[in-house]
This record gives sequence, structure tokens and C-alpha cells, in this order.
Amino acid sequence: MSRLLLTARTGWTLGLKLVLAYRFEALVQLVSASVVALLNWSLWTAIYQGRTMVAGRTAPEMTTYVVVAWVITTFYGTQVDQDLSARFREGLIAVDLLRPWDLHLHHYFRDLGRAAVALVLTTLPLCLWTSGLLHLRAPERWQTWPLFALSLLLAHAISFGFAWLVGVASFHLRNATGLAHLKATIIGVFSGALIPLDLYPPALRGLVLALPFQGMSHTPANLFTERLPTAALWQPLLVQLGWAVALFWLGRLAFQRALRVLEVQGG
Amino acid sequence: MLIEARQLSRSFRSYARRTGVLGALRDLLRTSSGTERVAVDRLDLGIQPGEIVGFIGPNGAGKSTTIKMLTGVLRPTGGQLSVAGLVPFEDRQRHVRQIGVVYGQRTQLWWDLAVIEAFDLLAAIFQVERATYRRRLERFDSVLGIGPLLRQPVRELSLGQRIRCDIAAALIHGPPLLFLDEPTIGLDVAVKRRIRAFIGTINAEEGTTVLLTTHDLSDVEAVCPRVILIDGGRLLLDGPTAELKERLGGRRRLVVDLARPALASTLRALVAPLPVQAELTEEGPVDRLVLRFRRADTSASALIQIVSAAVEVADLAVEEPDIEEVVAGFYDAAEARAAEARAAEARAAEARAAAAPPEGAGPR
Repeated sequence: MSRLLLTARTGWTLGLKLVLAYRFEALVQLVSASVVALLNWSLWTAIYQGRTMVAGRTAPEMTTYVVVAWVITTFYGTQVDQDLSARFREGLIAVDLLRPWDLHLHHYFRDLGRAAVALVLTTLPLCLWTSGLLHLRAPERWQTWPLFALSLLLAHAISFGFAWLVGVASFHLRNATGLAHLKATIIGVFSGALIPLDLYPPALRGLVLALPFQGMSHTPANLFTERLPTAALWQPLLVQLGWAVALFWLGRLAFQRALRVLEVQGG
Repeated sequence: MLIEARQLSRSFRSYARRTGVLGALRDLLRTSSGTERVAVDRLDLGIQPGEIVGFIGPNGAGKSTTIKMLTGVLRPTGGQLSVAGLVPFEDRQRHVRQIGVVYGQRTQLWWDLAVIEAFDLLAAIFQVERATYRRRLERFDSVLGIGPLLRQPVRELSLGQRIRCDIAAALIHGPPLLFLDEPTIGLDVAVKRRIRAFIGTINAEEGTTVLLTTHDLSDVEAVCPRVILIDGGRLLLDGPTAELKERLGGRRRLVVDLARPALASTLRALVAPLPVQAELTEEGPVDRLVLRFRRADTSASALIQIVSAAVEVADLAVEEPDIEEVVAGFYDAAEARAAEARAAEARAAEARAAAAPPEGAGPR
């Protein structure tokens, strides 16, 4: 247990420090995420001209969904796949393995540190200005807030778990760029970060809701807009948790297998 | 025995890339299973606590692969390995607490953090007590002179500064065993000297065992009493550094300037019964005699007595063989042997192909 705490503390600290070394990037993220959120908001505001309901949602519900779903990507969006594949490619994995830590867990906590900084420097400022200017709908029930926070943490775990697997895959395939594009596309289409997933045609909807990616934006944003029946609030959280755990263990196994066949590149 | 390896081996699969666009497409399907390439081949090693051992060999000899197995990064594909009672790859997290590692070509610090931040983090990861940590920092500063660098981001350090910080980083948790993988690569003479002195100091004061991989043989001569030479993944030589030159065929030279020219034939007759080679190419009268000999066979003083009894000597000089040259000569020879082996293999394969009946023609 104390070992886990140590890994958590040192990983978190390193994540904080590394991302703070590039504070400027937080500003860039803030601006670019603002633009996309604003664009999506304008689009849906235009669609609602003269209508009160689209796909069972009122205009404030819809705009709140699209803004929240996009804003939280700045929190859970991780680059651990690229970090990991770069460590493999440059042979620096040999250095990472010289520490008495579980490298997989270490990276999880490190990315949590990264996410914490992003929350303060990017996500919260985004929330502030969008909720002030775009007339978003605040949750009516107080319980929504802690559940949303929990859901966001699980969204991050799913995002990390998937990115880690992509990173390990890039070690086997030795092609990080292609996989990075693939990952971005998958998350863009299947997470619900751009469009609510229940707007998809029924056949596709069944598929995307059965995949882990819906736990990234779709679940938290639906929770936030209180689209779910009060009695079943725990259900989507449990689905998120299930996927987070499954991806985590898959990532562990894949990484251990990769280490067994590791060749350190570059002498 | 601190490090004990028996028949330690590691092989890799390598896939030759086909050329051209079509080749790249065929690579996608990867029908070939690749060829097995042996990097380390049944290596036996034994290193006692407190030793400083130089680990040398030409490029591609298998040094780095060996080090990476010893540090627990790579899994051996054959043989046994134990370091201070642990199997490095299987017990990695416990093993790395007892070793420090410096890769000259890769930093273990974080480019974007200040040196002291990296040190603090490493001290936390290895759970070094605060007082011990402070004492070690002071010591690293006094021997490696890193005090003024601590607040700088790693990316702003020069190579020499970075290596000094890397060495300190590798020793923050006070490991009894230190691996230095080409720590002096690209460094100037002053920094090299400082690092050599530091290696000697920690070995003498704390009994740290050091395994030093290097291409700079003056490093080995300066700090390593023992040297291990490998090539093609195999152990070629293991013994005192002082004997390395001899065992690789290095000869000392005795240069005798004669007061009066003597006939080459006379000189040849004089040295013929001695265990020496005379460098006498000219005929007729010469005024210099050069003798090459091995320390094991005879001594310079014995030779001088014999020569000066026969001819009048104006001046004398004894030259030690240059280790760089001796080892370079050895590497060349090893390369030639390897090329010869490859050629022999190719000839054998050709012969087999010629002897085999054409496909489909043989009886079923």
C-alpha cells in the first residue's frame, strides 16, 4: 500500500512539474478548445432556430451537452501513447526501467498530475467563460456535481487505458504516427465529444454505446445535463468503471508482454 | 560473487526490410519469420564486490546488451544470471535499488526540469532519508563540482555538466554496484579526469563495485585493475589490465643508438639466441638497433647488459606498447576472422545448394 502511495505521489509530482514546464501550452489549449466549443455552440444554436426540441433535447440542454462534452476533453485527453512510443523509439525505456516503480501505474498517476494542471489552467477557465457567455444550463440537483466529478475521473481512466494500449501497440508496429491519427479519429467519433451519441442512426448507436469510448464524453456530459433517470444514475458510472478496469488490466498484460520481447533501440 | 553469469545469452529476431514500394507492401504481410541474430553468446562472468572492471570490445560486440541484461532491462534468452542474489529481469523493482546506472548517450534526468528537481524526485522514489540525501549531495558537489548546476534545467547543461549530474543521479540511493556505459564519450580531458578520479574515490571509500564500458582504453588503464574483452557476444579475454597488452600481442621496444656503426649481420648474430625480434631491414653498417620483446620473455635490463657488452652504446630508450594500437590491431584481426567465417558459411551454403537435387526432381 505504501508502495502504491509512493508511486502515486512521485508520479503525480512529476506530471505536475513536467506540464508546468510548458505553461504556454495550457494557454494554447485554452484558445483552441474555446474556438471548437464556440463553433459547436453556434452550430446548434442555429439548428434550434424556430425549434424547441431536437432529438428529445431542448436548446439549452443540447448546447450545454456539446460545450461540456468538448471542454472535458482538455482534462482527459492524454498523450501518454506518444510519450510511451517515443521512450521505446529512443531507447529511453531502458532508463525508465531503472526505477523501483511499476511503470504502468507510474504513468497513470503522472497523467493524473498532468490532468490536474490542465483542470486548473484550461478546463476551469473554459467552464467559466462558456457558462457566463453561452447561457448554459447548470445542473438542478446538487448530487449531479459529485457524480459528474467521479464520472470525469473515470473518463480520464478510460482515456488513459486506451492511450496506453495504443502506445504499447506502437512498440510492436513501430509506427506511432499512424496510430496517433487512428486514436484521434476513434475518440472523435466514438466518445461523443462532438455530437451526442444518441443522434447516430440506430445501428451505429448500438455499436458506439457498446464500446468503451462512450465513457469519455458521452457519459459525463449526459450526467451533467441530467439526461439520465435519477434512479439509474449509478449505472453509467458502473459501466465506466468496468471499462476503466478492463482497459487497465489489458494494458498491464500488453506491457508486460512487450517487455519480454523488448529490444532497446540505438545501442 | 556479486555478479555471476553462466552461459548468458541473448538473441534478437531481425527482419531485413525489403526495398522499394513493392518491398514495403510485402513487408506489411511479413511472410518471413526473420533471422535470429545472437548478440550475447554463452557468456560467463564473475565479478567480486569492490572490483572495478573495464568491459571492452569493438562496436556491436554485445557490451550494451550485456549491461542491459545485468540492469534488468532486457530478458536473457538463455543461461543464468544473478546479481547480488537477485535475478535482474524477474526481480527488477528490487534489483534496481542495489544498482546505479549511467548511460553516457542517454540522460536519466528530465530535460525540462532543473537538476535539483530531478534529484529530489529520485530521492523520493528511492526513499532516501533526508539527512543522508543532503550528505550525499554535498559530497557529489565536492567531488564532481555540480553545486552551481543544480538550479539549471537539464536541457541547458553542456555534455560534461550533464554527465556529471547523471553520475550523481545514479548514486543518490547509494547503490553498492555501479554500471557506467560509456560515461566519458565525447568529453574533454579535464572532465574525463574528474570522472576517473570520482570512480576511484567511491570505490575506495564506499567499496562500490564498478563495471565500466568504454571505447576509451585510457579510461580502462587509469581506473580498472581488471579488464574483460568480448567480441561477437563471446568472452575473449578476462584478466589484469596490465597483462592485456601482452596477451593481445603487444611488444615493448628497446631502441639502442650505437656509438659506432656496426654491421647488420653482426647484430643479427648477436640477438639470434635471444627471445626478441630485431627490426633490421638494411644490410651493411647501421647505427641503430631496435628490439621488440614481450615482458614475459625477458627484461629490458637483461637485454641492455647483453647488447652493451658486445657493442658501444650511445643512448637507450624503452618504449611501452600503446594500448590503443594493440587493441585496434586486435579488433581488425577479429573483424577479419568474422568476415572469413561469413565467407566460409556462404561457401558451405552454396556447396549444399549445388549438392542437393533440383526441387521436384528427387524421388518422393
